[in-house]
Amino acid sequence: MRPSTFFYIIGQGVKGVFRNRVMTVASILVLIACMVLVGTLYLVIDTIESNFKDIEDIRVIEVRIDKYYTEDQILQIADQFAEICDSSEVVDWNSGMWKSDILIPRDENFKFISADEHLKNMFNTEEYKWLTNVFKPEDIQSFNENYNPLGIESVMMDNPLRPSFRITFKSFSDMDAVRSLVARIDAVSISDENGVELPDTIPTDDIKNNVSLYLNVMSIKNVLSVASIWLMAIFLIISLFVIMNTIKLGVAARENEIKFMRLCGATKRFVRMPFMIEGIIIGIFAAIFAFGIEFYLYEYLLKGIISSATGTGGIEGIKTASFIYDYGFKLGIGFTVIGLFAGVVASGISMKKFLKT
Amino acid sequence: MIKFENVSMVYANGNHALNDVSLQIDDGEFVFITGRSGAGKTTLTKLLICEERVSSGRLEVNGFRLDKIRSWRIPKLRRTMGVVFQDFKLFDKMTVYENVAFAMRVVGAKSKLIKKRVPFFLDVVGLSHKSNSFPTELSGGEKQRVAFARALVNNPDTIIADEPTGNVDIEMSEGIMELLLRVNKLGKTVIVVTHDLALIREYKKRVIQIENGKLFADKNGANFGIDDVKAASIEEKEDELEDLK
Repeated sequence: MRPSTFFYIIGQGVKGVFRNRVMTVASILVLIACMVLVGTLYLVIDTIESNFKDIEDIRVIEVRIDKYYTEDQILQIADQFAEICDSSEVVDWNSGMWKSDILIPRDENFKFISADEHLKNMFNTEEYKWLTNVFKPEDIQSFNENYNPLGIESVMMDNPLRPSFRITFKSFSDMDAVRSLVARIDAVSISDENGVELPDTIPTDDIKNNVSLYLNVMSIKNVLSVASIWLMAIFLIISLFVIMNTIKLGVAARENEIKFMRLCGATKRFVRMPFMIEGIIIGIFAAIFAFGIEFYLYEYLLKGIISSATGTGGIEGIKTASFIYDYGFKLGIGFTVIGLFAGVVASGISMKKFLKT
Repeated sequence: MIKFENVSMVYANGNHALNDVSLQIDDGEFVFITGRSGAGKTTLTKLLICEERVSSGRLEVNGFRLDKIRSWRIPKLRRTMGVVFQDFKLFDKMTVYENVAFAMRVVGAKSKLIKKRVPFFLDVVGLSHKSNSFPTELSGGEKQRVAFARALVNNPDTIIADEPTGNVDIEMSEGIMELLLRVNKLGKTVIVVTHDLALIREYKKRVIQIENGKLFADKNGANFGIDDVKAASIEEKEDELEDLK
């Protein structure tokens, strides 16, 4: 294609956008609505997912053992547990089905943590770091002198904590089953992910509630995912119809011109291209506006709601991301693809019928 | 060359527009096509530019077999022809220059070539001074000449003019015919579709008469007269009587 022809086609496409201003604006608005709705659902789903990623850690049961156990005895406990897992089939009381294979592979599911390691972890917490930052070094020194003259090493020597091993399992629904297996190990006690010791009898209401909350939120997330796909499909079809009507109005306004072009020997592609450019311009404009609206919604509205709710104690510790760095590229590409798809397909369909006749 | 071999054309509603027409128009010929309204003249020209497709028979136009042509080759065929429509089909929102340039633009001509050829052809039809005028500011004859310039600007092999003198006075029609003869002398095939018996007789060119979708007469314009028109009318009435019987 010659540059002059290329620029002529682009020029005709731009003219087409302004020919039916009202319909063009309507097309852009419908497409924006489609993109913003889909984009918002995506952001909500992603925020839920990223916030619950850390909670995956609660698929772990930590079993505290007596500190007087020797290393050999601890290894024996591990072997005993492995043996129980291998020889047991666990019944799922919900479905009434027998099932096994509830743990992740042996190498990863069993992790021993010594009492010293526990203590080091305690001093490595954010809260401890915060305290050391807030208090002046001389205050800490004076605290150590008065209450703990030998420093952390002295605590290590007389560590009140107990060693433990962690068992990771595949799904929350298997927690009770895993716990029942652990209960068969002699001389151990069970604690949850927060280190709270649990009675030997199962189930424990605290953990069960956490799990069901997680499962409920995940099912809401799944419903939102499915809903977003359906909504995108419905809105995309509506957008296609509106853009098709816009293009058809343009075609009707230029009917004689197009007929003459065809009689002069213009190719179908040459006739179609300006209308495709018109559709593409509509799509790109909609993508740009939708991106701006989404940026505002996320950075100001969503973050504002979360921070105000956190302030009043409504929602604690919900993590958000940077719109530009974390979502900018994905949403930009996504909106552009939706816009181009809608523009090209709608103009293609409306022109195809016309070029046939 | 244009060659019809037993060409028939039936519309979707069952109307037989052309029935077993066979004729040949050689390169560089000047031909009048005449016949009464509804005789099949328009269908014949539509077949030539592939606006309608042949139902049966063989049709060859400027090296293209139109009874077999693929749709992607139709633009190539149409670029070998320039058509002057009875209603001119000029675009009121474009200037005279833009109207003529448009015909080149849509076939992807270079801008340089457009700038060179459009003023030349406007000069040929004597409208250089009106290049910035809009069609609404032109007389019927001037519009006709713009339409001619637009048909000629892509250097086609064949010019088809549909009733070129239908909307103009005698003086103007002579000017248009002179223009067509000049184009013909350049080696282009010229096909003029007309009702104008006087025009046919005056220019003494080959006349193809179509009546009821059939080739009724193919003779020199000097020998074509009112009797041919009457004969066509009588034959039609005889056909009607046959149908009644």
